[in-house]
Amino acid sequence: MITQTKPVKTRTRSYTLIVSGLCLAVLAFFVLDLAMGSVRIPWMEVVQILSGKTAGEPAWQPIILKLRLPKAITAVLAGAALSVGGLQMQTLFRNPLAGPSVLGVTAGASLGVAAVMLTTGGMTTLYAVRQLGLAGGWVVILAGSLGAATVLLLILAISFKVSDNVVLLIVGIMLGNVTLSLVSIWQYFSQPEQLKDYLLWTFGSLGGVTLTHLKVLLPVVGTGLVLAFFSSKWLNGLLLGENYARSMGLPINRARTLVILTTSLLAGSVTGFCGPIGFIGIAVPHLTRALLNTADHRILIPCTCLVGALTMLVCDLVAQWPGSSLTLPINAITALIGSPVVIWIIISRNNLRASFG
Amino acid sequence: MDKQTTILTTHKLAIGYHHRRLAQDINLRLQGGELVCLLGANGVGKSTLMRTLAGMHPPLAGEVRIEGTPLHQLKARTLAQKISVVLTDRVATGNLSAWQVVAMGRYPYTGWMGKLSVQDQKVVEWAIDITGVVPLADRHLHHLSDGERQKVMIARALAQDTPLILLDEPTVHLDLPNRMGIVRLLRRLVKETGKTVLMSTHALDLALQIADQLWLMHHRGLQAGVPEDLVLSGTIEQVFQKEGLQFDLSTGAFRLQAFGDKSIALYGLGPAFVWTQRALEREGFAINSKKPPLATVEIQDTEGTTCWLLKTGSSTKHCTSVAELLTYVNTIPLPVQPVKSL
Repeated sequence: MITQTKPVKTRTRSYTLIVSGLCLAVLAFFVLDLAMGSVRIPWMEVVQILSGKTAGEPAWQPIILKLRLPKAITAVLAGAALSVGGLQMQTLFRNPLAGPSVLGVTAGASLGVAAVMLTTGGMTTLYAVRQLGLAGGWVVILAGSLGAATVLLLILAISFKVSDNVVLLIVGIMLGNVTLSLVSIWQYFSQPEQLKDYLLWTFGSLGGVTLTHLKVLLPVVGTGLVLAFFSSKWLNGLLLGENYARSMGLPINRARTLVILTTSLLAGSVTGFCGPIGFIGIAVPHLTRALLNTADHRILIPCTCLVGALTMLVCDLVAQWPGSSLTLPINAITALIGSPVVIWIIISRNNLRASFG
Repeated sequence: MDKQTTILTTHKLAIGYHHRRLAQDINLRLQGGELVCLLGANGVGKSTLMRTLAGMHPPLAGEVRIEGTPLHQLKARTLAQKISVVLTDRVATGNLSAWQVVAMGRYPYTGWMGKLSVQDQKVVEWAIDITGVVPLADRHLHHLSDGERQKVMIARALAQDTPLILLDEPTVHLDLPNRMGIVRLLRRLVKETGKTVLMSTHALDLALQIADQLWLMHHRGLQAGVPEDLVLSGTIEQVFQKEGLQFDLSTGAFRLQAFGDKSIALYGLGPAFVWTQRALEREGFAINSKKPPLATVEIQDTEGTTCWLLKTGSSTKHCTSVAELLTYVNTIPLPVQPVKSL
C-alpha cells in the first residue's frame, strides 16, 4: 500500500525541479528584457536600479523604471493570461486548436475597442485614451473586456441550450466571424485617422501600457489567474468528458460558466490593452504539456503561467531587435518565432495525440 | 450491506427524448448486493434508461428515488456518493496516468483542490488492487488497450465508493478472456462488498450465468426477474424471438433456426452429439423433428474413437470425421416435393 503511493511523490519532486527552473528562466529573461533595447544597459546596473540604488548613468533609471519595467511586467501578465485562457478553452472544448481567440473572445474585444476608437472621434483615439491615465485605462480595458464578455455571455446562454461542446465551439467560431465582420463594416465607414489608430492596435503592442495602467491590468489578470487555479479540479474532471465529470459530482454548468468568465476576463483585458496577440493562447498550453507530460491542471496552470510569461519575454526581446531602435509588432513575432518551435516540439514529442486522443 | 436494503426505485418512470418516448411505466427496484443485467435490442433505450437512473438525463415522467430520496432533490456531490458510472464514452485524454484517473473517483469526497487524504489514498489503492490494474497504475491511459482502459474506468468507479455502480456495456469491444475477467470481477465485488451492480449488455449467455436479476427491455416495456424464471416462463424467448432465431431451453443460447425443410435423425451421446447437431443444423437440417427424416446418423464410440454411421434407405456410410459426414449428407437426394411458387 505504501509502495503504491510512491510514484505520486516522485512525480511531485520532478515538478519542483521544472517549476524552479522555469522561475529562474522567467527571472533571467525579465532582467534581460530590461537590459536590452535601443540603449543597452549592463545586467548589474539593471539589478541595481531595480533594488532602488542609483545607476551609473542618470538617464538609465527612467528608461528602466518608466519604460522597460512596465513593458516587461505587461509581457509577463499578457503571456500568463493568454496561455492560461487558452489552456482552459482547450480543456473545456477538448480541442487542441481552441484558444482565447476562438469563441470570439478576441473578436469581441476587438469590437469593444473598435467601438471606442472608431465611433466617438478624435477625443477617444488610442493616444487620447492613454493620456487619460487610469480613467482612460478603464475605458480601453472595459471596452475590450465588455466586448469579449458580451460575445462570451451570448455563447454561455447558448451553451445552456447546446450540451455538445463541439457544437458550442462551432457556434463560438461563427459568432467570432459575425463580430469581426461588424468590425470590418465599422472600419469601412471610419475616418482614416481613426482607422490608423485601430489598425495600430491590431498589430499588438506591449509598450503602450504604463505603470498607471498596470494598476488596472495587474489585479484583473491576477484575479483571473487565481480563479483559473481554483477551477483546476473541475478542469481535471472535464478531461474525462462531461458525462463522467457530472457523475463524479462536478457542477458542470457552474464549471463551464466559471471557465468561460475567467477566460473572458484574462483574454479580454489583455487584448484591450495590448491588442489581439495571437498564437500564445494556442501554443503555450501545448508546449507546457509537452514539457511536463501531464494533464493535471493543478500543476499545468502554474507552469502554463510561467511558460507563457517566458515565451512572451522572449518574443519581446526579439521584437525590439537588439542593437536597433526598431520595434516590430509583437503579434507578428509571437507567431513567427513561436510556430516553428511548436511544430518541432509536437513532431518530436508526439504527445499532442496523447492529450487529445 | 444488508441484502434487503433498497438502493434505487423507480415509480412510473418514462424515459426518452422530447420527440420520442422510449419506454414508460417502468417500476423497478434495486436491492443491495445484487448484480442486475439489463438486456434489450439495439435502440430500445438501454443507455437512456441507464443515464436516466444516473441522473444524467431527465425523465419524461415519473421519478427515480435513491435510498428513498427523489433523485432530482440530491445535490450533484451527494448523488456522486451514491451512484458511480462506467460509460461507453471513450476517454480521449491520455496524458493522465491510470493512477490519476482512478484517484479522480475520490472527487465527491475531496476539497476544491482535489487533494487526497490518507483515507482517500487507501481507497484508491484498494480499487486498483481489487481490479488487478496494479501493473498499469503508472502507465498513461493513452498507452493502454481497450480492456485495460475499461478496467481502469471500473477501478475509478470503485474508488468512488458508491452503493450502486452502473456500467453501460462494460464488456463490449473486449475479447473473451477480458470479458470473463471483468464479469468475474463484478460478481466478486457484489459478493464481497455488498455493492449493487447494474450493467447493460448484449451477451445473453453471459447475463444468464452471472445475473441475480435480469431486466429485459423491449418495445412494450420492461420485465424484471430471476434469469431462470424468465427462461422457463418463455419471456426471454418472446422478447428476443425474431425471424430465424430459436431459443434453446437446454443450453440457454439462441440458435439459427433450420432454414431448410430437410430433417435428419440423430442418435448419440455427449459432446459428440451436441457438436454433430450444430454441424448438421448449419447445413440446414432440422434434427429429430417431426418430419420424416431423410437419413439417420448414429454416433458410435468404440475404444475412444468416434465414428458416424449415415443410413439412407438401405445403404450405410461409415464416416470418421464430421467433415466426411457432411460431404455425404449433402449428396443425399431430396425427396420429390410439390414445387413452391416463387
